[in-house]
Amino acid sequence: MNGSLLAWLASALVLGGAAFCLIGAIGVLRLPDCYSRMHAASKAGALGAAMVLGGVAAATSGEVALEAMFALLVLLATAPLAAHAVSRAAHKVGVKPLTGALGDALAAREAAGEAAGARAAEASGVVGGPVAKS
Amino acid sequence: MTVDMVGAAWVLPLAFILQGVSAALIMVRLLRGPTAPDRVVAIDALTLLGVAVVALVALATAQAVLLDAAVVLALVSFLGTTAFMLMFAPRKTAAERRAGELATGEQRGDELYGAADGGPDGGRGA
Repeated sequence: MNGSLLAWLASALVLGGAAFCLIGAIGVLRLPDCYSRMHAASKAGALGAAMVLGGVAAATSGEVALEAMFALLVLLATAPLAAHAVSRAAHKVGVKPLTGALGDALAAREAAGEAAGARAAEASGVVGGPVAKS
Repeated sequence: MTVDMVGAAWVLPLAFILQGVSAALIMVRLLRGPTAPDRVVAIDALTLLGVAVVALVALATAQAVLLDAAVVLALVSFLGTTAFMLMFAPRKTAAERRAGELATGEQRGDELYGAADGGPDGGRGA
């Protein structure tokens, strides 16, 4: 019973992971903005890969669970870091995000930091107010 | 390693087909991407997909060693994306270009301290 449950779980995880990878790929293709594309790639793609790795661990009845879990940990630790680094670098290069009602908080903070000069650290704490109000 | 899956005869090919379609969609974005960060995001998504495909190949061929390749691919993907970030970092003078990594590290350090100082201030302000 336990073995068949794990077999069902493995098939479900592998298929679900592949479906999440497909959803992430559609998001990378269709979303309007570099930052929202990063969103789709890093979240849906990482979840899909993590589910496939969990499916591998379940399909072998825990035989290679240690290696699969290590790969999963590495993936979950590095994918958000890489996504954050890419979006921050894109913002520094000057790629404009499509902003909603809350505006571009990072640009506002950097502008305030330049205006305040040496007291940039103090200004970045103050600038949360105007951004939230606007 | 022994693979025990329900309907492995059709689950694995279907998963491979889904991954192939995903790779094709991401390749379209990689070739079309209007800006360089779009392409970096597409490369990041492709390597994440590659980790999943390597894990699937490990299942299909019952080779446990391929999971180590998946770990290494995840690590190399992170290093590659970070290297692209350093490529985007704005560098003005020759001195900064020579110490490029150091310069970006200093900039990020300043902003990190700003954010750390800003947290308690915002709490007191609110």
